[in-house]
Amino acid sequence: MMSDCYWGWSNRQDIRERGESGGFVSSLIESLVGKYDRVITIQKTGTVFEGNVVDVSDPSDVKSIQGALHSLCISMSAYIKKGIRTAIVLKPCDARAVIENMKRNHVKRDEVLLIGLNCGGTLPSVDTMKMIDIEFDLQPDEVVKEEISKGNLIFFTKEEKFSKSIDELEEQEYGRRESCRYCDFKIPSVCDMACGNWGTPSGKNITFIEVFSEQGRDALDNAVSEGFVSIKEPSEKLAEIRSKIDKTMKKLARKWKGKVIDPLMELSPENRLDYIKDALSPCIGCYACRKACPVCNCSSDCKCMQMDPDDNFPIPQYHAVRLLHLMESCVGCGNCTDVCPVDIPLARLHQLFSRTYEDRTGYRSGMSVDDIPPLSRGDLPEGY
Amino acid sequence: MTYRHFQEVICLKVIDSHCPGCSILCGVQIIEDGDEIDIDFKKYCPINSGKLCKYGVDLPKIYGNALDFSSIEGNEVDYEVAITKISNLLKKWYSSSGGKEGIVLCCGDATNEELLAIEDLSSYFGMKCASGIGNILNVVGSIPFIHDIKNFDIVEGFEQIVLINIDPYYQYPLVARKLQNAKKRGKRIISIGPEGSHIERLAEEVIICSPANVHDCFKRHISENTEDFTLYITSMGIYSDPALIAEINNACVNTKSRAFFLKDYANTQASLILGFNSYKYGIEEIIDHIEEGRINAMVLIESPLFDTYLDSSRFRKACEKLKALVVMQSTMPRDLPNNAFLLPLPAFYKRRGALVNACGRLIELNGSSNGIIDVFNDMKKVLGHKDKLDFEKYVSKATGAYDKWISSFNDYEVVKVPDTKYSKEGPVHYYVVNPFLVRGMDHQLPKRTSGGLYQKASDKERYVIKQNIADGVVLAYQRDEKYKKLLSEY
Repeated sequence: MMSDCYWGWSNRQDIRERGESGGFVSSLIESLVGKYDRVITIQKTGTVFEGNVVDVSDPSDVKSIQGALHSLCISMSAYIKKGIRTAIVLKPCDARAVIENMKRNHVKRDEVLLIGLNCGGTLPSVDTMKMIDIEFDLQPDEVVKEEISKGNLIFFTKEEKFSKSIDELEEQEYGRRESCRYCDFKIPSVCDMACGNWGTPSGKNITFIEVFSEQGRDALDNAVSEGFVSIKEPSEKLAEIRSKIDKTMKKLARKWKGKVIDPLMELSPENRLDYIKDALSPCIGCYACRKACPVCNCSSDCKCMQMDPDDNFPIPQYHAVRLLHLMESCVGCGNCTDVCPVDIPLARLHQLFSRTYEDRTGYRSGMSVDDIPPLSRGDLPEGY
Repeated sequence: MTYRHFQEVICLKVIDSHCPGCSILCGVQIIEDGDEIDIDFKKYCPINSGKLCKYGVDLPKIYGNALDFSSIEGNEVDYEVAITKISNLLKKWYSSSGGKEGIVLCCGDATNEELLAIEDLSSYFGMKCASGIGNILNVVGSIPFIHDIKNFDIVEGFEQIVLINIDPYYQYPLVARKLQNAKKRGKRIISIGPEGSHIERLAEEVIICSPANVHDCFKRHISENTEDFTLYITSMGIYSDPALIAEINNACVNTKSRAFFLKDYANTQASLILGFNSYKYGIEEIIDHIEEGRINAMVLIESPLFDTYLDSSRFRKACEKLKALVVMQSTMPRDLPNNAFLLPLPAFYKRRGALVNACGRLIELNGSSNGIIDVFNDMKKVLGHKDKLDFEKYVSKATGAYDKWISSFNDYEVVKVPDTKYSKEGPVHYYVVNPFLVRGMDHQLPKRTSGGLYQKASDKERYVIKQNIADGVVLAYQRDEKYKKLLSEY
């Protein structure tokens, strides 16, 4: 088991110093330029709260892609196109979305290299900028680096370090996005490799890497042999700590699910219908939720687009179709909620359906290309 | 050294941009993937937190419909031919205008720098500039009312919010969410205007009135209302009634109340700040002046009114009489008069420069093209001028004007409420000024006019009205007897 896990770091001093956790991912990306049609990751464009996706076409672009960017929640899977060989850095929920797209033959497994990042959750950018002002008495542009460590949200200015417990912040409606709070998929094991700082020696700038596939191994071996990165076997003790952190994060996610999703699951059918109807009532039919959804794969002539979100059904057909379709494919990324112009908690509604489905069938979306949903197999449990 | 082994694959490019749909200027990221254009949600933009309305979501379609050819009187020609003929046409008009007027009409889809260049070019050809709301400026002056409304969050802070002839869900959904939050915080929301299902859900008090009676209803409301910490929200654009705008302004005088005017074109705000309107008339008056022969030349810049103006057939017919008609825009026109000289402009997101949003904030557009400025330089070259319009010069001039404006707010002052024929006979609008309609989006959106005008019309009338419906928008003209009758029934 330990043979698939490594500690790694960049061989370039400048990247090691600037990068998060020793700049391993940055240098891995550098090693992949030219080997894939596209090498996709996120770059900072201003403060640590501002950035966009970049197709790294030149190793010198690596400078702009370093550092943790927990406040930049971009749906990465949309940047993968069938027929274009792509290496991409992504979060666990993005990776699950890619797996769903592979099932639908929209992405070819052998055309992509998935470099996963462990994820304890992402933060809503604008609310985080406001929080920094109110809770930390800082201006967003003073922050030069941010970090999530040991349950704390940490901001660094040029001179100082500011830290607060994420639990406390979340009690005040700040902190992570709602969908991240109850997400329990923290180490993206569906990727070719997963990278992060859990299980690394304190005070050392090192990345913990777990390799899950031949493709991941090839990419790592290549980066090592070409002199971009160095790796070594991690200590067993710290590898165990990494597992413990994962378990703790999952436990916390279950607590949040208990707070947010379970009460909805426990409602009577009538009350649940009322809740859903009321939540969906401000819908203006902009279809932003569909556009942002990483697993909605139909083209622009999708059937749901022909349905009037203001029809006379108890749950508008547009939403009813999406709720049913996504019941077995929603990966809980929360993008639908993020982009809704009238603040409908769509991710919560979709998770209500998909978690119920999961509880009853044991099926979870985005975990393996070979997993076929029970509804498609036609073998739903008795009484479902 | 090339690092890309697979040269046939084009590098993906993501451009930080803003939606041109209205004056909110929501942040959006434009993805260029070869010839394909897509969007991503710019979640860190403080204006909209990544959220977009239908117009923003549909930007790939809109940008995908780019105008990519030039034409002269209906015949496609090369850009060089078109620019030569247009330059000579305007020069000839100037030398033989014979006391007639020429105007350059730009409703507001241009950067600050472009607006200044348009001013320079129009004066070069002896023409005047118009943004289509000069009639409103005549009444209320050039300060466009952004007292203390520096960001949308402030909307939630007022004790009372009065929506006047506006349904934010249809028109400005990004403001609707702020109103939802205000309601959650116990703020009182009142709506004055035609009925709409969403407004009824949002507002505590709904004063339903015919579009023609909004002004009177508003006057009655303020005479009975004692709350002096009110935010009045309405739309200010080419279809607005100057008398209503004046009345809202006057309601703020000597109170803590404020007016928040949303605008339907991207940079209307800057056109006010930069003193763009030397032709101080509204669109209806401009059409009248063309019909009367007072105006006989017009340059339309990023103002595709042939497709989108509510009485587009009248506008088209009037423009057919012009001696010189030049149309410069970035999107494909649908119904251009035969006498038009057409020139393509780069898409909005491709341009660089600054914009001013509805809250008065300076916003940067991150494209690389100088847009209209480059086109004008090509015209100057044709006419034998060696000097060029300088983008940087316009940056500094626009910044100076903005700085002066932002630091010079005065208290609201009483203005005279006009009694022009346009407030009585001009277009009456029913949630008319929304990006969907003004931009000529042709897809049918959900109708929400339950029990309203649409349902009451006969089949034939319904068809006619349907032409003027977008997202629950109904237009009626007071000067048109058929609509007048429907309105009175309503």
